[in-house]
Amino acid sequence: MNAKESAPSVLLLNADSPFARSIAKSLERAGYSPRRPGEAEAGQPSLAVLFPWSAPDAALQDVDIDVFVGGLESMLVDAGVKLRESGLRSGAASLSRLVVLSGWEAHGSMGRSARSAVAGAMLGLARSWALEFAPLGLTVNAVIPGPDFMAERDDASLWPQASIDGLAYAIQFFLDPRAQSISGQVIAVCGGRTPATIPV
Amino acid sequence: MTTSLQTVLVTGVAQGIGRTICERLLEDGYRVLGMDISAQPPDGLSAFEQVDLTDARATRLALGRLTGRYDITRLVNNVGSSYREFVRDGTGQAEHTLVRLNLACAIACAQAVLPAMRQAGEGRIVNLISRAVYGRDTRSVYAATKSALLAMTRSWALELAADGISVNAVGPGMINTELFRRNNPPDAPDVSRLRDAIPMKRIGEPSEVAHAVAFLLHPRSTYITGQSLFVCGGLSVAKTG
Repeated sequence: MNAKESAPSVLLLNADSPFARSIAKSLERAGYSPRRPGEAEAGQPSLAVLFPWSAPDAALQDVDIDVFVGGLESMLVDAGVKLRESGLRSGAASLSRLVVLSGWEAHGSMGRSARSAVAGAMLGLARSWALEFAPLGLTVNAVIPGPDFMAERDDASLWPQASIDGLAYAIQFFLDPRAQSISGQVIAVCGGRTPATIPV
Repeated sequence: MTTSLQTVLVTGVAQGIGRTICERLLEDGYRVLGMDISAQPPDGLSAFEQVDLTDARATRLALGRLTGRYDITRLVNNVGSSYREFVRDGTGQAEHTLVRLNLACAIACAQAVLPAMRQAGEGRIVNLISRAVYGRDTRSVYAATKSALLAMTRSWALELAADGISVNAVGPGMINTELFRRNNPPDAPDVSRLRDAIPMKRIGEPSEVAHAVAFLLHPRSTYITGQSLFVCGGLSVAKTG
């Protein structure tokens, strides 16, 4: 994809974190045109990536339940609203590919109750939406970033570019038009850390 | 080892699986405490708090009353609800209710019982999840909250293992509760289709879920943590037909 005007648009949902911005830059380098909701464009994008809410880290006894409820509820409601805006309300989705970013914490992570809940919720959404949207031709898959993205998560300078690009490449795989028969799947981009663990 | 001196708190005890879990744990000799929005708990509870478990403040107050009287070393986060709706029809009500009932209540209960478990040097937490963690159309918010609870089960297991506290999950399949029967009349075509999809070709009984919960709570289950046990007649393994 050389010409800018031919770059496929990718709608980035809940993409305010440094992590999401790094992914957006990588997708742009790969020839995509990342967009935020509301940005001017002719027609609706057919591709979308949904990022998780960055819940605060806390041990179980320190989880602020009000903050947790507010953040998770907002993320879930907003995701539903954005999907309905894409045409689902009328039963004619403009989207054809949706990739949901989860988190390594879905496997379980000490001191990260809220983040693990969010990561797990993203998988539940992806698998359920995959079933519900299959008749509309919309595939929904999930990508789990490896633990490299957990440490010092908010300091993007600490993430190796190769890791970011590898993660973005997994997203591109699910966004590809040729991936029309793949839905409800989960890929962990983790350098081989998932063998000998419980599948999520 | 005996269960007779252990105190267990169960949420959502008035009906269905939660009620049967209470009855089983009473048979096993536990001192059983319950919480529910309904004022019809099973007989034999040592204490019962009628409370709207979607109300975090009211839940915390009720938990404070229970933990003030009892050293709770067993917790069953059973309470939960589900909304059947297509994403296209969503109004936000499912998110509002299910995040509070299926998740926030579990966190509040776990936080409340942790001091007694740590003081005792051991404890058991069982979270009720669902087969929906593998995806369920028309119930995406429910699936999200149950998947979130599964992930938290694993995080809590890692976090609390050194304190001797195990945290596991039980995932019921299709279970013959009042709610299931109300939503699925026996002669409905859906019920036959659902039953045929189960490798064991039958709907499960609440007592079978309670048996799994009792196993994980038992004093001899000392080395099992972070696991998820599905009680589903094989439905989680494969769909037949």
